[in-house]
Amino acid sequence: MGNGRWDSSSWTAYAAGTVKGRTRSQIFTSTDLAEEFDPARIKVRESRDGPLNPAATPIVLASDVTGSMGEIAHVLMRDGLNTLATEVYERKLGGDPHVMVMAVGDARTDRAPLQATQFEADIGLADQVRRLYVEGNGGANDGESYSGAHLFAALKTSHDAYEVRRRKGYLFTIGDEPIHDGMTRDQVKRVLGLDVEADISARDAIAMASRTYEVFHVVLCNEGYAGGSRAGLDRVMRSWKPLLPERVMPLERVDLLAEAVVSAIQVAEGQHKDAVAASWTGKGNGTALVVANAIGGLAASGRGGGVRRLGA
Amino acid sequence: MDARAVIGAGYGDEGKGLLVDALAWEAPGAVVVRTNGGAQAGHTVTTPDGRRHVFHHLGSGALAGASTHLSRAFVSAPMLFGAEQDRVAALGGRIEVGADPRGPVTTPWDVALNQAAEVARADGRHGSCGIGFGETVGRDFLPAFALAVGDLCGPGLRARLRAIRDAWLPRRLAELGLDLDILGPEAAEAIRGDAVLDRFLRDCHDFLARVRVRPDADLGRLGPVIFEGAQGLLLDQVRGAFPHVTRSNTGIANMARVAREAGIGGIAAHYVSRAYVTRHGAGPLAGEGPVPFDVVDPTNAPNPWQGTVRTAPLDLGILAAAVAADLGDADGLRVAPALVLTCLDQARGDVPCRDGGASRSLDPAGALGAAAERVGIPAGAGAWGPTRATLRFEPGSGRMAA
Repeated sequence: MGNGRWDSSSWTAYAAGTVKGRTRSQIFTSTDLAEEFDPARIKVRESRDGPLNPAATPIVLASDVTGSMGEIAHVLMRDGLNTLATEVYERKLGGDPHVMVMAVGDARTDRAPLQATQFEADIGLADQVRRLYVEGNGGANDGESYSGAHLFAALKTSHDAYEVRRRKGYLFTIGDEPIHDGMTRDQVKRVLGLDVEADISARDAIAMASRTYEVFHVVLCNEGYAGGSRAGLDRVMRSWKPLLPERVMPLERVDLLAEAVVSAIQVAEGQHKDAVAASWTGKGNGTALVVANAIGGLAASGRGGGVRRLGA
Repeated sequence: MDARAVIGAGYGDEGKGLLVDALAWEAPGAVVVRTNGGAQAGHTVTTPDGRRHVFHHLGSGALAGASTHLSRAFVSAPMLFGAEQDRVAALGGRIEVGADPRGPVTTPWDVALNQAAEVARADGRHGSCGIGFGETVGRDFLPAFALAVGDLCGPGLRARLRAIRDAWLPRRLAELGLDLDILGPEAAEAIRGDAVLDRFLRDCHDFLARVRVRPDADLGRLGPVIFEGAQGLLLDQVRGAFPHVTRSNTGIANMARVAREAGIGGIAAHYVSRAYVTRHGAGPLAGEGPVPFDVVDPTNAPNPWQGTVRTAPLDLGILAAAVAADLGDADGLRVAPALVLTCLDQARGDVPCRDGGASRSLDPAGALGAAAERVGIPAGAGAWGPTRATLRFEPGSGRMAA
């Protein structure tokens, strides 16, 4: 028995106190790529409708985890996943979110250039994200292998949203660097465990993913490569915009990633951009403004078909 | 594979922490599993190199290199967990913690209810610790207000916390005939306010970042398992003297249930008592009075929610009955019991014991053997100081079977 205690005079101190978060190295405990997240060993990741999730909507968040970007995955896990799931429900975006998190690195230099959790509707996801291996490496060669995330979504996921209901899922890549131009045959073999006949360009990888996903990219403007200089940010935007016209989102605050993602989904589902941005006004600290800037460049409603709700 | 278990045979403070630390030291890679109670427990471990920690939320094997698992029968307290994990990390302990998603979670409003009830009770205190354990267990029976580890990340956590604060708290206060203002107007306002709720939400997210959610069923694959009971058999909710009890099964019953889920076939159970009896807070204590020991109790700092420590000689009749009754709760699991006596070094001379109405006097060196014979189970170990280095295992004791 003991001295586990709670003094009633400490209530106000408790309310005013902050949570001392764990550092990235304390939270991400893995020291190597876990087999369960190794895309070469994963046959397929599935998002299926079920009694608890009658209209499962797959949402893939593929974040750069190299260098300082490891912290982004950290923030996403600590705060963002809960915000994301809560807001998707509260804003009645129609489906039941099934979220999969991917960790993206550099296929040229990293030991674990791509990792993928399961699609999860609940707490199991936070646990899996915690176990992702954060390499902190990322070659200094002006880019990351985001195409791996696009190819994985295209070739190794399967979801009822599209296969049963002909509705696309959502795929967001997130990071501070330009995109490498696709992957070589060797890289596809090594990273994804797939045999392909030729190298795959970034444009082709996105086109493949776009068959079953609405594809977006979030540029973290104030982080690392993009945040280092105006020229850096320009290079990042120039690399992405031609590949994903009207689908690139510059985000000024990392801690608002979940809000930006939810807003993009709302816009894709046909809601008005101004109304979506204004809906965050109550959150304070300029949230609405940051969101408005992030979604300002998006196409006004879903393109590519399959996004708009028919009827209810 | 068989597991080991440490069970308090008295009212708590028997030396469970010491024994868990010793067993963990002998079993590299072990996972210590908490199977009852919550962070109100306080299990002291002092290492031979002088590090000392009172374990509340983590397993007492952490300083000996064991990881922790919080089973479905353990009540978690996100308000307290992070600070303890950081402290154990600073002491060089192992801080990997797993938690079954079904484990109940204490909220700030359970703590407030607990405190308000204790303050109102004034002199008639139950010996409660003021961190909301009992209130959590009560609330957990109601599906509309229950909160488990698995709920902490789901959508709608905020709505659920609001329901507990706005619907359950007033309902429970009315049931108890209490007013929060008994804690002072400032505290009452804070407890009802959004700042406490927001802070607790952050604690919940932080808790999830710090523990790995995994089912009890996975335990069998994690390495040697050591079940760590909290409180003691004489405080058991079924067998103790109501109302001065804790709201959990303090013996082997929960361990047997978790073992079954995890595919563990047998348990080497260590029943631990001091060479005398202590009790905190209110409630009966047979033979209460001074004992010829240099009583050491650094764990239990005086605490507004509990009284001071009381003592009595060891009652072998009560001990035998408590252990026999507990072994009946094993539900078919194979159990190899053994008796452990601690604090033998504190005896000033012979060890006095009670047995039924009679009194006996035992030589400290022979006390363990004599007590074990009377209880009817093998002698396991005797502790002659506060660290694992002072523990003398009996040849062929239960630990060898595990």
